[in-house]
Amino acid sequence: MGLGRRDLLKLVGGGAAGFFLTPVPWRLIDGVAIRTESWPGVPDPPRGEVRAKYTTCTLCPAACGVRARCVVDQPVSLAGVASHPSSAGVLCPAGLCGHHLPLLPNRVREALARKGDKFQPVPVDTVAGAVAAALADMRQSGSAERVAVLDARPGRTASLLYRRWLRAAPNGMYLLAPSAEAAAPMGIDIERTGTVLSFGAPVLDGWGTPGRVLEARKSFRLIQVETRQSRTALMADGWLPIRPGTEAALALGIANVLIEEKLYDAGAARNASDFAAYAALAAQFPPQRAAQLTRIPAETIVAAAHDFVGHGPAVAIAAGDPGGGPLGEGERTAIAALNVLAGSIGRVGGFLPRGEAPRPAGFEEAALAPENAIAEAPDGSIRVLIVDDSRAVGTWCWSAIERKLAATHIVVAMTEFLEGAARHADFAVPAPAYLEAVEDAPAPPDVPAAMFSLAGALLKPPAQAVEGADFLNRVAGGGAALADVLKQRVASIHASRRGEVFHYADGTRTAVKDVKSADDLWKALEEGGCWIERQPGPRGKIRVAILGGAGDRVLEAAAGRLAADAQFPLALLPYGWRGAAGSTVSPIMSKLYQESDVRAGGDTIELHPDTAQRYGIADGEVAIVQTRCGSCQRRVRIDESIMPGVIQAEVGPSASGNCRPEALLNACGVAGDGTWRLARASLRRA
Amino acid sequence: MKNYRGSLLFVAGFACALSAGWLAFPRAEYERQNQPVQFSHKVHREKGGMKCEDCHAIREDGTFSGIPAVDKCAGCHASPMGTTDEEKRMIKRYIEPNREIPWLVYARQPENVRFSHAFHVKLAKLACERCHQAHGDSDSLPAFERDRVSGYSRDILGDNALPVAGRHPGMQMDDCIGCHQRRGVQDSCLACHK
Repeated sequence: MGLGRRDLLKLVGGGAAGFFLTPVPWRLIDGVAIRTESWPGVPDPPRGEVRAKYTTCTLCPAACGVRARCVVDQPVSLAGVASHPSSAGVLCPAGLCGHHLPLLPNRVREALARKGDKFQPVPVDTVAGAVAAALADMRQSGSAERVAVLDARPGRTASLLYRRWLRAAPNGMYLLAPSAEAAAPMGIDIERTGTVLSFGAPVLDGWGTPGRVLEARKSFRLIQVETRQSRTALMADGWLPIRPGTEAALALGIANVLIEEKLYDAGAARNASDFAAYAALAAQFPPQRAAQLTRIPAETIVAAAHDFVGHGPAVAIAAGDPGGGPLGEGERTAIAALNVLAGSIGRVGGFLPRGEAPRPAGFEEAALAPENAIAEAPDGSIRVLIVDDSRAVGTWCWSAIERKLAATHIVVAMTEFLEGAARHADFAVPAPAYLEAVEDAPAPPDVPAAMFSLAGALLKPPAQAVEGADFLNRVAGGGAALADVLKQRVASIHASRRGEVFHYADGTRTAVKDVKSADDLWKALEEGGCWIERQPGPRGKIRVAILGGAGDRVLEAAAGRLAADAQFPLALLPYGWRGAAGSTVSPIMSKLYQESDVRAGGDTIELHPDTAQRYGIADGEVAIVQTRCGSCQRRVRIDESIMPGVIQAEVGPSASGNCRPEALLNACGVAGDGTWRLARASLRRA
Repeated sequence: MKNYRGSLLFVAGFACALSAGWLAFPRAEYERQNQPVQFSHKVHREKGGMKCEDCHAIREDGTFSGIPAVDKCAGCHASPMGTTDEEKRMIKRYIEPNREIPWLVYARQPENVRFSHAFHVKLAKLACERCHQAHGDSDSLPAFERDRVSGYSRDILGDNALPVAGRHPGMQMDDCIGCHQRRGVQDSCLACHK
């Protein structure tokens, strides 16, 4: 009666059949699937009480209000603050993921010194000592060499400290990073604007204060002038696909129509000191000539001019691209001149003057080093360069600054990640990441009001992290700490009794004159608030110089930036996206690039099918882009929306999540005016 | 007899598997753990005169206080109020050293889920008991039953788990979607996964 092999098989067979009629296999499949969510390596935030804390986003100059959902003290999700005076409850994707940044593995947590191609940890004081020794040597030798600070986020209180320190330093020079969105003396009254003529500005894709612009979108017409069919171009009321590098010619063509047909604001023109010279310049660009240069039909240019002033108030915006860098001075001047013709300077719905948060004593303009573009620094002149490009909103080309360095030099990068300028520096000093330090956020560049917000510290920074301004104090052996100067600035605002405070937590407002003490004002701002002061309105006539001595550069730009070149027949156009071009983003953001076609990705170029066919390149193949300055290798995406003869190259995170556009930007080369947005190129299959 | 032997063995194997799967597995699947403190909602409500909202409130800013921190307990229990050993043990272990009580939360959701009590209680008017059962009347806390495979509470699985008398509806994603569909609530991934 023993069990034979066949018996055993029947028993097991019966068991197997029964097994599948029990819940066991289905429960195991479900349970294992759920278990995979908590495998080792998956971040596990602390458990505890959930609280809402409020702060201000400092990842870009938009300074949006942030509501942070914190478990114990750890922020686990970020959202916008409803009814915020400028951001209107909106946070961009980069802002929504901002709390991931301090946790990224490529954080710089200790000071690093370059040894050959690698970095080795050193104490921060060693770096400060090296800079101090170089400064002492410059003083002793009476050298004409310079010490410079390159600031990617101008307008902060830290920037004032940089500028004051440089005033006292030997040949100190304060440089604005080309990607910096510097505060202008005027903001745009976009809520009451009738028409926006944008020359390449990503108006609906992260420009200015995104929440404010999107909120106002329903009330203004948008004409987008851009070579590529960007997201803004797609959503605009009109898109003028322009030949690369001919924006100034189009601006002068439109100006010609407005002047010839007397459609301009004669009163505003009378307030311009050089209107006659400008009119003479515009007279050289009738619509037919502008059409030849821009490849936009003459009748379209005439219609655009009529459209521009026909639905006023109108503003023309000249903004660079976060990846492609700034427009040249010639283009900027030609485009800004349209605002004078439209009479939008100092007018409701146009550009309105705005003030600034009061500064503490000792920070008057005369006590500070002036602001300079990199191009203004003489080549080979900088002995000591401190780069503060943490949280830069756009990329910039290292070769633009490299040529300014003296033969013997020290470059110190104040940085959160070993990316960007830090990869070229002699020393990298850890800076507090977003949410790790109390800092201020100045008024967003587009807002026509004076604003000042504090971003409270929700997280602890690495032990060695030091603010750039405090690092300079270590170099100098003393000086006012940034935290103290911030408190002095808040006290100055309180003493001025101007403006009001918007409280993020409950959306209420309190007049500054009703705040009892400077400490109370500090507490209100640190716990989530912003100070705001709106100008009473347009005040009198504003006298302007349209060309401001830049007539030659306007003429040069209007002739077109790309000369014919048989060897390099294509136009290479780098472009990027604010928040992702050149800066580190959360892995959730790079997931967009990896798993969707929402963004092209930092390792691709885009071509029109005809261009690809001419060079024998198929979709998905790897191609080499060659220019006179260098080359880079990228995967090709074919897209019918690309202009024939143009190579579009996105500056942004690649599939690996890193954003290292050096090869592309070096291939573009930096022009004499510090721009790199356009280059002649050729293409071949790799 | 020999002709039926094979069939009998097959049926025996089949029956064993069914028994193991339906009777033994449900008992083996869950690991029972007692709460660190045997808390009585009933005593606090009836003798202490407390209301649910005293400890589990939706704040003005929309956040939910959840289970109160030990500070809240210390407000009354800095020294024993009763005579039970359980209270004395809680004071010695948690209140005196100001250490948080490691409650085992029956309704704990995965980290990628954000659940708003404010939306569900204030806007949708859902009763607390819909998800948490009638804890307010309980004299002791039930054992926490952790699924050995998924790691989650049996309360999350609800009726999706093995049929055990008296289980309530679960709190898995299918349950959320089902309820939203029945109530005509628009769904998107970002509604819950932020």
